[in-house]
Amino acid sequence: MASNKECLIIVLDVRNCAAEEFKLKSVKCVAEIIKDKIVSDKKDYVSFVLVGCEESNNELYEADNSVCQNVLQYENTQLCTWQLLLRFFKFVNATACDEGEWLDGLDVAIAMLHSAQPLKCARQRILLLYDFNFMTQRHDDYDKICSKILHENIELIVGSHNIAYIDNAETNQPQAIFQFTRKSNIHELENQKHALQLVSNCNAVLCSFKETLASVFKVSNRRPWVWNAKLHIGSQISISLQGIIAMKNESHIKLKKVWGEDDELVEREERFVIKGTEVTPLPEDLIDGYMLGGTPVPYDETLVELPPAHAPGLHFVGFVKHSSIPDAYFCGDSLYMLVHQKGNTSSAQKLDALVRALIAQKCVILCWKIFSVKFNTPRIVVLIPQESKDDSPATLYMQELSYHAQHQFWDFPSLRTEKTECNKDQLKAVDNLIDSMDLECTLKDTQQPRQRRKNDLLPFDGLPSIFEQNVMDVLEYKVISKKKDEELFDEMLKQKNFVDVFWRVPEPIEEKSKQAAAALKKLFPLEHSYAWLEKLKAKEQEQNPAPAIKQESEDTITINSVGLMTPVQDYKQLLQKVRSELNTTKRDAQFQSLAAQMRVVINTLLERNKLDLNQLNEVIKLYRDSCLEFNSFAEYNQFANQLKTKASERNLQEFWHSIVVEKQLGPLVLGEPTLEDELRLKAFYTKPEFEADDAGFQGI
Amino acid sequence: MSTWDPERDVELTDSEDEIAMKRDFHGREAILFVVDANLETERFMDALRLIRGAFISGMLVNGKDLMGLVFANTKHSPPPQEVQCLENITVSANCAIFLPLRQLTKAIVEHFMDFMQNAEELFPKEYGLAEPDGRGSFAQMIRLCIEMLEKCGKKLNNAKIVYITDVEEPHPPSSPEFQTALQKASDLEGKEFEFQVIPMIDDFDYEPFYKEFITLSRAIEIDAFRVPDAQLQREILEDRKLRQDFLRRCLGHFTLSLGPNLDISVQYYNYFQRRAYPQKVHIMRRDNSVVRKRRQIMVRQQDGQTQEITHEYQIKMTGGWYECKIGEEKLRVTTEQLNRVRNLHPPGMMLLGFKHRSTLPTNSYSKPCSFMYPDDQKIIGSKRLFRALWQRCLERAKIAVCLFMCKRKSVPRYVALVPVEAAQPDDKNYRSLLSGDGFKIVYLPEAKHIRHIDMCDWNSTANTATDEGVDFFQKVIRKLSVDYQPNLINDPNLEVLQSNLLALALDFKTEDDGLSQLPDPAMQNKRIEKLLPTYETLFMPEVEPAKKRAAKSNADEASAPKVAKIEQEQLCSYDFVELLIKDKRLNACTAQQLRYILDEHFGVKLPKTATKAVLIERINALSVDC
Repeated sequence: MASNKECLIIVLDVRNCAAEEFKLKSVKCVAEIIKDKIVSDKKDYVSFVLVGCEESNNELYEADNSVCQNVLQYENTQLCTWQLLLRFFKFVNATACDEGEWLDGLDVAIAMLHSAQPLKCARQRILLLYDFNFMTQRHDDYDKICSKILHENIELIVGSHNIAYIDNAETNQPQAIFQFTRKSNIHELENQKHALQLVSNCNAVLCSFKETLASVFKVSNRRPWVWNAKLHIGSQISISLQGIIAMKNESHIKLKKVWGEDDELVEREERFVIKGTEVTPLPEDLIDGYMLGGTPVPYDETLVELPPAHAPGLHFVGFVKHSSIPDAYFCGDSLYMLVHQKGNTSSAQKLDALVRALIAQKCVILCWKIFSVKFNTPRIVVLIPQESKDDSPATLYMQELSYHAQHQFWDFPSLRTEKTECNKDQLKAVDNLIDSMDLECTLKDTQQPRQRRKNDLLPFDGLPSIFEQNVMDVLEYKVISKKKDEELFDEMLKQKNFVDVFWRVPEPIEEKSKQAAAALKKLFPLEHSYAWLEKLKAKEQEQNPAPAIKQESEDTITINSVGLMTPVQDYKQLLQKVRSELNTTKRDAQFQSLAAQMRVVINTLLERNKLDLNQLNEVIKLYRDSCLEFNSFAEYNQFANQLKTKASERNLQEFWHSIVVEKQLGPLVLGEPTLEDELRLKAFYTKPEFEADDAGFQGI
Repeated sequence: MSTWDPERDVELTDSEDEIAMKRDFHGREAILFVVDANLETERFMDALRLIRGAFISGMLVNGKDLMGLVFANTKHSPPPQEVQCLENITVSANCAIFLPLRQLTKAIVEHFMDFMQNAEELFPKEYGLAEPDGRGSFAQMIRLCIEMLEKCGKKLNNAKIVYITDVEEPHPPSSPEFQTALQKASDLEGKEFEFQVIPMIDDFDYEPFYKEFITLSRAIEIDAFRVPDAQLQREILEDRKLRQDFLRRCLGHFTLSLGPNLDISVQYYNYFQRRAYPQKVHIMRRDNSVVRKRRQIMVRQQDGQTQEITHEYQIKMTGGWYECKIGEEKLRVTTEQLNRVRNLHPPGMMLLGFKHRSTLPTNSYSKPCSFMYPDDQKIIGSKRLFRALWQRCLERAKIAVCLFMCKRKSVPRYVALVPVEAAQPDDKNYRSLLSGDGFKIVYLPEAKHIRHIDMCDWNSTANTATDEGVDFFQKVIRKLSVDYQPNLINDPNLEVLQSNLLALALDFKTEDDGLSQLPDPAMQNKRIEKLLPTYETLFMPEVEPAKKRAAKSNADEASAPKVAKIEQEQLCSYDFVELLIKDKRLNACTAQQLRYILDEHFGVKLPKTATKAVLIERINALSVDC
């Protein structure tokens, strides 16, 4: 595979005279670059050069001590690792002085790129972060260095803090300028002039800090991966094309997943189960099949003749009007761009003619895409024409469509009803919100220099990957602080700035938008529905009642369950907690869980060989009383029946007569017992069948 | 090409598919068909055919759904085949249950198809039409349906009653039965059961009864009712598709924040579902029982000396941890911690600003769009503000740019809200089914998702075609233009599979031309026959550019065996082999040769999985023993 790795040398200004804010920002900028390369596992090489150090140490200085003084070079270029990031933080704190020339820094960087040539990087870049301030700088070598950069195809990106953008009056393209915030001295103007001229002299990109990272990350690829295919229209017309991924929704974070410790063996295994029971069938016992409703249907090549594979390529279906294709049916995770086969002039001309004809007819092509013999599932795609431009030939964008079987049809009531009708003031307030939150136009009227290259507060081609950024920040924090995990995350959670920074309206329109929203709020009454809140609560409780409550009780109570040693005290204590719960639903649920524990305890006590009758009397009575208190009649009565069965099974005559019957621990009765109740009670207290009746108790 | 590597992989899950899958656990979908006995024979048979279509596509596409069938306004109420299902259900007069709500199986569909064969004769005899005027109680019919849905024994997530009729009013408007029937609508609303009427005539008038009944059952204003197209309703029903009620089946609710303290509640929907193939299973040959395959990850600790397993445990796919290296030190990041990073911001949508509609790039794509509609149930008044915003954006051609996190543990994304409008009532094509009034949520690609390609190697002045060439293709376009009909486009592989399954299970033959197929180029040739001679004169034949190196896919060349560095004949002599061992030159042999040495000189055969290193080690060990 074509390698697109790069070699990047970052030149930083650390002179004492450079603005502190500038220095902090440039270190942050470098850290972002390294983090990005680590996390996305790029094979790029990076190194650093500091300008303005007391110490002079670099390749050129070593050869000739009269040149490139006060320039400190980091070791050789390296792959990005967390280790490198930590070392960089140390390295950048080298003792600084006021002397140092940015051209020397560039010279050293070029020399470093030379020594890195054996690494065979496809691209060589230098990032210069420099404060072009009032200090004098020598510009003797300016032309020489510019021509070196130009001729060696080195891309140069220059970032500084006081750069802004205006639209060039002639070309209407954004142009970088230095902001005149205070009175600049002659050296400063001279420095800035030379920096600006880098753009024309060696195609350098000059950017503000906000744009620097975007410029560094915006890497164009000359040798992308291609999918070779032919577009057939009928059998005569065919055009050789190459598909290139233009956009893909993918994660760039690549972290190594580990399942076990170093000395452990990790294996993925397959297990077979029939209705929950594990089985180990022989391969020949099994046949592949599909579920048809509730019926399994065996299906393999011995039973049906499978159709032959389709031929790879693009099979034309028809031309359709572009407007008839709803983009809501676009699916997949990527957008391909189809371009003619590289170096094939005939196919280039055919594609150019086809694209221009399609645009003239406002049509797109509908066709089947067969990726390869292996990935043979046909996908229906549309090919959308894109006319040739200065920097690209005619192309077709290929977009996958979903199938009819997948489509959903919704029935949405219309929005324009009497109930939702708005008056003039309300619509005006909405208009006001739209105008005051305009991301494009606020800056258009004034020719003020701006921070971003585009006249747009949120350009669509520069949207950040928020989650990836958050992960990088967390990892960086973790690597730097090396604290214990829990502490670390609590700290991270407290300072959520790095997350919230994305969740806010762009600063220039923030204040105006707040006012517009406040005006809107006055005109549109909004109210939280209580019915809905209640419903939500009920639903939540229905879904997970037990665990939530258990957790809560575990949190607040010193003992968390009824033990066998002191069941009476435990139960009393826990019962007290339950009583203190104000929410009745929660209280009942807590009681039920507590009661269940108590039943287990009583059952366990009854299992013992030698029964402690006093204790049993106490616990059962306590439990019975609590059931009375919490209206838990049915549960107790059921339990009482269990007691009776148990007594009979284990022949616990003494327990039955002296505890249950004598102390009247039988079923509970609500209010005054009716005749029916009394009969029921009588039936309960009649002795159960004991194996050998003890004469002493026969009279009862 | 980037390939998936389980070793280095972070899964980002925020696809709607997953949400849809999770929803399945909350209950099943149920469709209860009710066929009006008033339908004349032909229409009645059409209705049964519709249901057969729905049964079959239901079995194929979503096998877990429950389906049932009831006849309404009948004279008699013969019991269904499965009589015991009536035990706890009271069948209303003038209604007959044919099939209680069941997951469809081969036997059920066969039973239905048997019934269909003789239905023309049997139905009037066994079921008949309610006397005197064919009007059984509509309210009682609805009651029976509700009872059947409630007592179906499964947890339902989405239940629909589909009434197939051609009678516009079940009772005369002035009658008390009419009022009772209308009252039943609120029962449906309370139970969250959906009611749909499928008219078997095209000019069906909803005004007298159904407009009010349906709006009441959905708790929407009567002027928000949109008259559906009867023919389309029937067509999509045959594919077991129904227009879904917006209230029940959304992907999620969230709040849209328009500013500080200004939130409205909204819900969002997908335009299409994930691709559903029939569920693949393993079946035991002897008794056709379904065998489920489970993959699991086992971790074992081994005793270093005895090679015995000392401890063994299973971990979930979500278990384990991520590792990052700082020099020799390894830092661990657990999956739980990554999840917490995702949860740093609560779900919801936040307005960041507005742009003109034209700024949205035409060829930009990140993931399938969704649709957003107001929800007045959580925050009362949301609908009005939503409408105002929607209306002004529509009229001023504006789009709203927002940051959107659809649920917990998902990834925040930038989206553009594009106002869209429902089709006009006279629009009868499939496109009219796309959606209603609301915002289309367009997911914007992040900067990192956009690849910048330097096209300099493709650019050439010779690329430009002549105007004749353009004219030629314009003519071709005119000849080969077609209408886009989404209902005709289905996955050919899936259709073959489905028709084979039906043939195997039900002996049900699908006509070959009913299947989607790749187009026939001969037909296309014929239509542009007259143009083709010009094509050859206009464009040069394509010459493949010379390849720099042979493509690897060319099997003959790429996988040619390695040329051995040591000649085979020499290996026959053990002395030579001994020399190799002594000089540690075994590495120069191919694996094939090493196997030969083991076999020839030591009489040992190792499994095919043995690597070269293992082979060499074995030879070394054996030579020492010798």
